[in-house]
Formats: sequence, structure tokens, C-alpha cells
Amino acid sequence: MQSKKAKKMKTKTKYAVLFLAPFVILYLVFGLFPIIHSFYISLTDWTFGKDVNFVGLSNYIRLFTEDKYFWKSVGNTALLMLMYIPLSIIVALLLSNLIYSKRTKFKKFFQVAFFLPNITTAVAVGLMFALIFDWQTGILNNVLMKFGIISSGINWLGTPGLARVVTALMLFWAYFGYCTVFYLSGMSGIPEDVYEAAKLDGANHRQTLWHVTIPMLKPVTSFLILTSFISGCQVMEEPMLLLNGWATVGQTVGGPDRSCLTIVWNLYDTAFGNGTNLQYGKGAAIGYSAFLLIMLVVMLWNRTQKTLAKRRGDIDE
Amino acid sequence: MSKRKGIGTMAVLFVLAFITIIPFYMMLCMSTQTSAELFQGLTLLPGSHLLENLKTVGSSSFGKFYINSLVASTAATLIGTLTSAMAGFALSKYRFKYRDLIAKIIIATMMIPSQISLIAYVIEMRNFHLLNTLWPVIIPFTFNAFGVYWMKQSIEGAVPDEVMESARIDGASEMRVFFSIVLPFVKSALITIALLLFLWSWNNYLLPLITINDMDLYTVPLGIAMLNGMYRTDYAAKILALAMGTVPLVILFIFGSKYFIRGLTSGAVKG
Repeated sequence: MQSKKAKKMKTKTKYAVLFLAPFVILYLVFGLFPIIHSFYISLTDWTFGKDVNFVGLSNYIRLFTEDKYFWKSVGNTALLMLMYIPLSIIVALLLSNLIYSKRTKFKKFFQVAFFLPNITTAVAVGLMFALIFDWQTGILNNVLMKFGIISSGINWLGTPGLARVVTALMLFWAYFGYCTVFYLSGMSGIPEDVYEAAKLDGANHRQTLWHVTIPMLKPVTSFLILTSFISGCQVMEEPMLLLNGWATVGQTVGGPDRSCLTIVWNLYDTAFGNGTNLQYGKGAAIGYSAFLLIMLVVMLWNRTQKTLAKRRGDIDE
Repeated sequence: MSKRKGIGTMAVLFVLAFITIIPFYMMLCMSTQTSAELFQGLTLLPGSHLLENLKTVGSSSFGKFYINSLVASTAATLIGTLTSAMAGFALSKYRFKYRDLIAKIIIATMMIPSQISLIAYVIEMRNFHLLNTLWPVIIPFTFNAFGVYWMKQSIEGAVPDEVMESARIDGASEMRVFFSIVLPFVKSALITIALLLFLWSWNNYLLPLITINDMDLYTVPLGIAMLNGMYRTDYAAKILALAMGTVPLVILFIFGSKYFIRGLTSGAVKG
């Protein structure tokens, strides 16, 4: 009996392996292997078409200490994130509260409308905003001049500060609906009697939002902060298309004065941007450095969350 | 008082919805005008130049880009959905050593940004002689950790063990159990992951940008971005192409929004 059971388990394991195999094999060959290989490449001075030498950590040391654009790209990315992520999350929270309200009609329509930019390819997002903000042909300058608000077009995308603001605005436009959908799904999980109780206690709308809804949505908020941070670190396609997509003049890497050069754009430009100088070693080092920075921030975030939760737990007891 | 507040709420919502939709609307209007009209200023009404613009776009390779995107995204979706469902099935309905560890590792891989492997991936594609095929833009979507996680959760919750067991007693093979018992139970979860994979692969720009050089293999996003060189001065035709690349997905999303949103938010609800 015992051995029969054992035999049955064994054949089952065989099938489990069989069902797992396609995913695992594809992941090992095309996922894990390039990750490890990239790390090795980051320790070499490989430039496409030239000899490859092992150089240890010198790519990293140079990136951290003397490279002109690495820290700039990290700073740009952080700045962009600071501009669009908190705004997206706050707007999404308020919006979903409005959509969720019983009085609101056309809930489905709003949910779909706000989410629409998020399913649109980054190429289209960047180009649509380029159509609006282009210096000479853009819609916005046309409108502003028509109404006599400005006498000559503003060079939105040619000025470092403005280019950053427009980029952040575009990212906000493309992102806040995504956050809204998460808050809505979180709100549908809050039990109705919690609201009833708040009502009985005489709480008005603002108090209910502040003391009931927002605390109950904390898991969604912390999830959104974390995933927004990870996805924000990877932004590249939208600014690239906004600033370079169909530009007729002045194609620049990273926008004016590289003010919108993000980490991944810098990686792309280093390893693939310049056809005669494809720096694979340095590019791989940029990728790994960014990954380490992300992990560091995520770990710090998790630790603070845990400490805070612990402290709150102590007070509650 | 309460009524006035309700109207205010609706006004805020409509203004924001207007802001999200207006760029799409302008894109559609602009795609029906002549390039000259575009430069004269803002018209918020459709023009009459749609057919001519269509002709311009039609005479370019844009149709080919469409077919490439369709082929690549369909392949990515079919393979990715199948591998996700199979792995999800193995992790939820079989008991074996290290099962939970494997599941945990797969979920952890979701945290690794894909850009980290980008350079070695391109080199790998070159070594496999795949750079002049569509495979480089298909392969990364054929193994999706989120898909595995999603299918594992769905199969765990939706497929009763007894039904599988009785099929086995009737002599069904494990493959048969999977295809004709398990999959029908999780149809809507399959639709969700298939739609997401299709969306992600269709929208991708970076991958084709660095792995495809042959214009005959351009996908829609890459094609749109490269239109500048093709009909440089015909701005309106470019915008029409942009609209044509965007609209099908918008329609797909509107009809499948329930599935999209359910899939995307599945991780957050549990916190």
C-alpha cells in the first residue's frame, strides 16, 4: 500500500515537471541566462567590434565617480518621479472616491476613460504630446497665440525646465488612471458597515474619507508607491518619443541639456544609440547599477513599513 | 445641497475625462485633414482629407507593419498563455518537492526589471541568428511570471479536485485533464492573461527598436516612430498612421476592460 502510494506520487511529480518545463526552460534560457551574462559583460570593457577585456569593477567605479551622465540620469529620473507619482496617487485617490460615490453615474465610462491612456502604446503617448507641445507646429502654442495670450510660441520642449514639466505632465496623464483603477478595486473591498458606522457617528464626507477610506486603503497605497517606483525607474519610451520622435530639428539625446535623460534612456544610448560606438560593458553596468539602486530603495521602504507597523502595533496594544 | 454637490462631482469627473480623451480626439481629427490645414491652426472638427491620407499611408509599408505586429503579438499571446496555464496548473494541483519554493522564486522574478538583461539578450539573439526574424520581440512574452502567478491563483480557486479525480478514474490522461477539464474552468482568467500579453507585446517599443533592423519586420510602434523618415513632410498622413496604430487596441480594451482591470488589480487587493 505504502509503495503504491509512493509510486503514484512519483508519476505525479513527473507530470508536474512536464507542465512546468516549458515556462522554466524558456525562463532559464532567455530570462536568467541573459541576466547573468549581462553581469559578466558589465565587468568587461566590451565595445561592439573591439576586443573584450575583463576589467573588474572599473565600469562601476567610473560610473559612480566620474561619469557625466549617470548621476544626472538618476537625478532626472528621481525628479520626474517626484513630479508625477505623488500627484498621480493623490488625484487617483480623490477621483476614485468621487467615482465610488453612490450618486455618481456613468461609473464604467469614467473608469474606462481614465484608464485609456495607460493601454496606449508609449510611442503614441509621446507623439501625441509632441503634437500638442511642439514649438512651431504644436496645438498649444497655436491656441495661446490665437487668443493673444502669448505673442510668439513658447519652446516647451527646448527648455530644460519646461521639458521636464511637460514630460512629467505626460507621465501623469498616462498614469493616474492606472492608480485610480487600483483604488476602485480596493474600495469595493471595504465593507459597507464600516461606512454605516461612520455615518452613525456623525462623520461628514471629508471626515469619512480621511478617517475611514484612506486608512482602509493603506495596503493599496503602499502597493502603488512601490510599483510606481519600480516602473518609474524604467521610464524611457515616452520621453524619448516626446522629445525625439518626430522632431524635425534638434534631435537630442535626453532632451535639452539632457534634462530628461532617464536611467534607461542613458542605458539605451550607451549600448545601442550610437551605431559606431556600442558600449556593451558600460551599458550593462548602468543596468546593474540601476537595479542595485532600486533594490536598495525597495529594501529601505520595506524596512520602514515594517518598523512603522510594529510601532503602531505597540500603541494599539 | 447634496444635489449641488453631486453636480459638482460629475463636473470634476467630466473635466478630467475630457482631458484624458482630448488628445485621442485631436489625433483622430488631425488624421482627416490636410497637412496645410494642420499648420494653420486648431480645428476641432474632422476634415475631409481622410481618403487621401489613407492612400498615402496605404502606399507605404504600414500594412506590413500591421501584419508583423499581429503575427508577433498572436504568437506571444498563444505561447505565453499556454506556458502560464501549464505552470500555474503544476504549481496549484500537484504536490512535489520544492513546489512552494519554486512558486516563490517565480513571483520574486517579477521584481527584476527586464532592462537588466537587455544587452545580453540582444547578443543572445544575434548568436542564435534570430535578429532577422520576429522571434526577438516574441520570446520575452512567452514566459511571464505574472501569468504563472495569476493562473496558479485562478486554478487553485476555480477547479475542484473531485472533478479532476473522476476524470482520471474514467481513464483520462493528465494532458487531457489539463486541456478538457482544467482550462474550461478558468476561461475568464485565460482571457485576462491573453489580453494583457497581447497588449504588452503589441505596445512594446524598446525591444523591436534594438533587435529589428530590417524594415520588412518592423512592428507598428517601431513603424510609427520611424515614419518621420518615410513621408517627412506629410504630417497628416503620419498622424493617420499613428491613429491606425492606436485605435484597434483602444477598441480591444473597451470591450475587454473588465478582464484587463481584473488582471491588473489582482495583486493589489491582498495588499
